[in-house]
Amino acid sequence: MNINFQSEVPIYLQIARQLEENILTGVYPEETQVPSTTELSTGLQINPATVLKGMNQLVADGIIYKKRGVGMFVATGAAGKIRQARQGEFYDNYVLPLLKEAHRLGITAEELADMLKRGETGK
Amino acid sequence: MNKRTLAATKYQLWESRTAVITFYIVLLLVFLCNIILNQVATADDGGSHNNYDGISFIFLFVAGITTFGQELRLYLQCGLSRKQLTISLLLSMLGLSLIMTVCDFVFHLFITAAAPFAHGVVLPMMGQMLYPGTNVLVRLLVHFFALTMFSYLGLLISAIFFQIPKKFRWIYCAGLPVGAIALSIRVALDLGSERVTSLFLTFFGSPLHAIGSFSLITVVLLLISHFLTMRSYLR
Amino acid sequence: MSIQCAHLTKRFGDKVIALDDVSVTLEREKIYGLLGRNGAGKSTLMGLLADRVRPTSGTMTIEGKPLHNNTGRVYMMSEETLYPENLKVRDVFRWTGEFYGGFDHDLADRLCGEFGLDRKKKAGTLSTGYKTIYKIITALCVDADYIFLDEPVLGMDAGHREIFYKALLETYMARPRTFVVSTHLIEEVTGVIEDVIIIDRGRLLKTASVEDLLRSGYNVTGAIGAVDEYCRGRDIIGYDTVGGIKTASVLGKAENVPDGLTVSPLDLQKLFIRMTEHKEGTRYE
Repeated sequence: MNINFQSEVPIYLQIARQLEENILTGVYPEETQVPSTTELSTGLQINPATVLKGMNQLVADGIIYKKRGVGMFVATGAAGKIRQARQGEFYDNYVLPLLKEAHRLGITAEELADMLKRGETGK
Repeated sequence: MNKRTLAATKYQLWESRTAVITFYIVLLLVFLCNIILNQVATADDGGSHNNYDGISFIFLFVAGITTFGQELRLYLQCGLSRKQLTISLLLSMLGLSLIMTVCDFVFHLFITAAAPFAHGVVLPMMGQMLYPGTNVLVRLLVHFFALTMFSYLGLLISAIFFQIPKKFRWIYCAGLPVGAIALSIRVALDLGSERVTSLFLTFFGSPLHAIGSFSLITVVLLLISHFLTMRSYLR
Repeated sequence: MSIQCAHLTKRFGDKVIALDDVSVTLEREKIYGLLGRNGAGKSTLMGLLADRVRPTSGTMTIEGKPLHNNTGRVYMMSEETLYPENLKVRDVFRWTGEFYGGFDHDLADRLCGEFGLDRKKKAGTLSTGYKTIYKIITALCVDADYIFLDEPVLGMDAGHREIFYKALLETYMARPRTFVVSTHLIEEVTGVIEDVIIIDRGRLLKTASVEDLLRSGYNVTGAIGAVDEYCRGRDIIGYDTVGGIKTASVLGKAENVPDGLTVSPLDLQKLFIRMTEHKEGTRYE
C-alpha cells in the first residue's frame, strides 16, 4: 500500500480506496480478514485515528464488517458493491478528465473513438 | 507513604552503596597500613593516636553536598514534587546515617578487639569521645544524630548554591571554605574562653542535650533547605 | 481530562519574551506535533509543561489540578540530560520505571535490539546519537499519561527514525496516551500526528487537526499576474515565486478558478513555512 501525502485525497480515504482495490483484485477475498488498524498504522506510519476513519468508512459502506474480538472482515458481495460504486464514479473520475485533456490538446471526438477502438483490440 | 517517595529513597540508598562500601574498604586499608607503619616505626611516644573520628561526618557532609544537585536533576526528570524530594532526601539521609552508625560501631569494635596489635591506632566514636562511659545505645544515638546533622549541613550548602545566580556562584564556592576556616580559627582561639565553654555545655552538656541539639539543628537545616528546594529550578 | 494552559508567558530577564500569552489544551490520548521555527518557543513551552521552568505568568492545570509539583503522570525527553552520567542504561530504565510505577521492559528490550543499544553501558559514555536513543526508549516505555518529546529525532539516521515512528505508533495503540512531539522534519511526521500546534515568535499561531488544517485551503499555481488577480480580496496564507510562476496558498474553498490556474492541495510542511514567513500581503504578515 502506498500513501501519497501530497495528494488531494485525504489519507483516510486513500487507505479506504486501496483496501477496496485489494478486495476487488481478490487479494482480500470475501469473508477473510483485512489487515488490522495496528498493522496498517505501524506499517504505513500513519496515526491510528486516521486509519480507523478509513476503515469505518468501509464499514459504513458495507464493504467490511467487524467481528468482535477478532478483527475486520470482507463482507459478502463486497467486490460487487465496490465495482458498482466505481462504475457510477467512472464518468466523473475518468471520462470527464479525459475529455477535458482531449479538448485541451485538440483531439476530436472521432479521434477519441478511434483511440478507444484501437486500445480495445490492442494495436 | 507515597510510592514515588519510597522509590526515590530506595534509589538514593542504592546510589550511595558504592561510595559507602569504598569508604569502609579504604578505612580498613588505611587502618591496616597504620598498623604496619606503627610496627615499623618505634612507638616510643606511648600510644600515638591515629584518630579516624570525624571521617564519617566528613563523608556524609560531602554526600549531602553532592546529593542535592544530582537528585534535583533526577527528580525534575522523573516527576517528583518538591515535597517528595524533601521527604525522600530526609529518609535516605536518615537511612545512610543509620547504616554508617552501625558500620562505624562495628569498625570501632573491630579496632578495639585488634588493640593489642593496633599499636596506638584508635577509632573513638563521637559518642565515646564526648560522653565516655555512657550506655552504648545512647552513644550510638548521639553518633547517629550527629551524622544526620552533618549531612544536612552539606545539603543546605548545596541548596543555597542553586539559588545563587550563575555568575555569582564562584564567589560562593570560594567564600564558603574561606569563611569556614576563618570561623574555625576564631573558635579555636576562643576555645578556652568561658563563653565558648558555656555555649558548648548548654548544647552538648549531656548525651540527651547533644541528641536534642543535633536534632534541632537538623530540623532547622531541613526546613530551610526544603524552602529553598521549593524554589529550586535548574534555570 | 487534559492539560490546560492559559495565558502562559515566559520572560527571561527584561528583554527576552520566549512565550507570549499562549493558551493551549492538550487532550488525553492524542499525538500532537509541536511545530515552530528555531527559537519560536517550542522548547520553552515544553519545559513549562514538564514543570522544569516556571512561567512568568499564566496558569497550567492537569486534569483540573495545578500542574506545578504535580507532574507524576508527565514525562519529558529533551536534549538536556538530567540523568546521572554514571547510571547504566538498564538502571535508567529500572529507576524511571520505579518512579513512575510502570515501565514496558519488553518493549525496551526489543527497541534496544532494534537500535543496537547496549543496556550495560553508562549513559554518559554513549555517543550523542545513542544518548538520544536511550532517552527515546525511556520515553516510549515509561508509564505516564503525557509524554513530551523535544526533537526526538534530531541527528538520527533515516533507519532509526523509522524505528522510532513505528514504535511510537505501536505503543500508542497498545496503551493510548498523549504524546507531544516537537520536530523540524514536518513531512515525515505529518501522517503520524493527529493534531498540530504551531508556535511562532513566542505566540500560538494555530492549533488544529492535521486533516482540518490541510482542508482549510488550497494552492493555486500559474502566471504571476493571473494568480495575483485571483488572489485579490482573498485570504492569502503565503506564496512562492519561481521563474514567472507563482504559487499562492489560499484559505477557504476553491471556487471560480480560471482555466489558466491549477489547484492543488495544501501540504503541511509548505503550509507551515508559508504561515511563518510573514510575507507582505498575507494574513500572517
